[in-house]
Amino acid sequence: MRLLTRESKIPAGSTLWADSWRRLKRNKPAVVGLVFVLMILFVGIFADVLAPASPTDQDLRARFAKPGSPSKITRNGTYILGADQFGRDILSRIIYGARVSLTLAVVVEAITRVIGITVGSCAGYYGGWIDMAISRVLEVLMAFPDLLFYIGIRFALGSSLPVLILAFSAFGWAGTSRFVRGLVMQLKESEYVEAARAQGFSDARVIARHILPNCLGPLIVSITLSIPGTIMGEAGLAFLGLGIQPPAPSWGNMIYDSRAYLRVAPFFGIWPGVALIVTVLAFNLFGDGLRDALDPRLKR
Amino acid sequence: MMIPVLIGVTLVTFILMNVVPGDPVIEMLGKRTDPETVAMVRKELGLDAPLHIQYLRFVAGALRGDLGKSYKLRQPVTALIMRTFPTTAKLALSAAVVAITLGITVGIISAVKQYSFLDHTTMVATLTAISAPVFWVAMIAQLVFGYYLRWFPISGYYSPWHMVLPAIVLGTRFSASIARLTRTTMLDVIRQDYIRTARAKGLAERMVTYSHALRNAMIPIVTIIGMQISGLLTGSFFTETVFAIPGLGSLAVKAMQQRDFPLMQGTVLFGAVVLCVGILIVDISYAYLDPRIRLE
Repeated sequence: MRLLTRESKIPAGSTLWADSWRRLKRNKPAVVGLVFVLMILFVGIFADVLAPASPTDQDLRARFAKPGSPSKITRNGTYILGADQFGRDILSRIIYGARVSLTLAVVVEAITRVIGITVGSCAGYYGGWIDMAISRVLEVLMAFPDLLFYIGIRFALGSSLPVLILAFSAFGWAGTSRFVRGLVMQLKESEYVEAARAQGFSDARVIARHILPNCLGPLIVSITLSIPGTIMGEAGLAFLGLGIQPPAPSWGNMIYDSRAYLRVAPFFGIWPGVALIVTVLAFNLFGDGLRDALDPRLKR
Repeated sequence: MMIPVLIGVTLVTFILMNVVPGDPVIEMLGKRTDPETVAMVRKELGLDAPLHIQYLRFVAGALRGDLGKSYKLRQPVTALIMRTFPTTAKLALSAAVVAITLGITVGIISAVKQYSFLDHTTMVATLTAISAPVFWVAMIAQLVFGYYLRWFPISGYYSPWHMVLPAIVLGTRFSASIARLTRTTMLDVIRQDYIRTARAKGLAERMVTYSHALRNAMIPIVTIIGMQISGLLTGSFFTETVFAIPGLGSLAVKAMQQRDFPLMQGTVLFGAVVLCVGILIVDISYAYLDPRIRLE
């Protein structure tokens, strides 16, 4: 049985991916998620082209203009989703907000994964006191109330996109490390790792070329599922008035601003929330589907 | 496990508070105070000592339950926390009750009626609930149920009735992940041999579901409930802010907006302690649910 499953994975990496893709395509919610994820990425990248107005253009005579009312600042002459407290186009701010949220999420992912994978694979591969030391640090980091840390660091260093990235990265890597550590510990006992070691390859090469590629599937899934966490985290900080500083648009900022005017202009608070939910839901659906596709044994 | 976490928490908060630009004494007294008064107050607050001495003093104080004095509110931090914490605890606990009852019920129904229309609907609904930020949902619930429909008071905390909507909002949010996990573990357990045996014995389906399947599915469910404690605490901070409930969250938010360092340090540390105790309770409840797990 063990031999069989192992052999079935040997014919080139492409089969695994092709297989997974086939399984993913059959999972309707996952495909819907994927389509939305791609759409949101597209919107974020081409925000300048797609947005009907600049996110910071104001028209104070059009404060809280209802959705669909005429506008002087948008290219098509209407506020499709209405205007905010400075008469800025809400749709354009949401579109630019997508760029902010995605930039933050992607950069944070990149940083935390690089650190997390390095530290985690060292702990898992070497074991012993290295593992002990790293594990203790990870436990403390993971138990730390991170929201409070963001708040602290935001006060210490002010608030701009780089500071937010730093704040989210500082704790984010612990989860990955722990996760990679577990995978590496499991894989390092396998015969092919032993074979690679017997050939005299350096530890770094064994980890990078032989162990990590086998962790790729679970890692991709966990990345897809943690992006929405960062996006929500930014919105949460912004909601406490600690996010990226206005006038830069971010969904969390918009929700924060809208609170004071909710009764006058409910749509002002609703749209950015909807954008947030759709984005997070899309990533979650896609991530869930991806997990089932990459490891059908988990499918229930 | 608890001790290194708490040491880490005190160290990190202490360092952060000292990296923050701005002199707390000047913040407290105003910019125009003459330097002598500033020096005097600094000495009184013990801020003239070297950092490591200040840190040790803080830890020693914390061990005795003395977290210093709030700069802005001029009251002992411990007293402020003790006054606000019961409110937060009430909110978090009532939310937990909502989350657990709703979550487990929905999860069981979904699992028993797997792939039914009901199952699909609830799974989409729970995923949406997980994807929605709690403060936004709270805000919209406040608008719809408080302002438009007038079913609930809009904000503040003057009677238990004021707590109902916040608890439902926060609880529903957390019921979603409990429901999803209950469904998964129930499906797993239902396929075990002992369930087949129970059915073969002729036990009623209800009996099989509740006393055989659910009991065995409880361990992972309790684990995820334990993992939610931190989220529940953060969630109640947001909910408190939206509904203007004077709890620990509102206190912490006020502390950080006014740069009240001792108060911030105190709330952070207290939050961490609550978290650790919560995790400990979850660990203990394992032994109750599964006698095979022994307490050591």
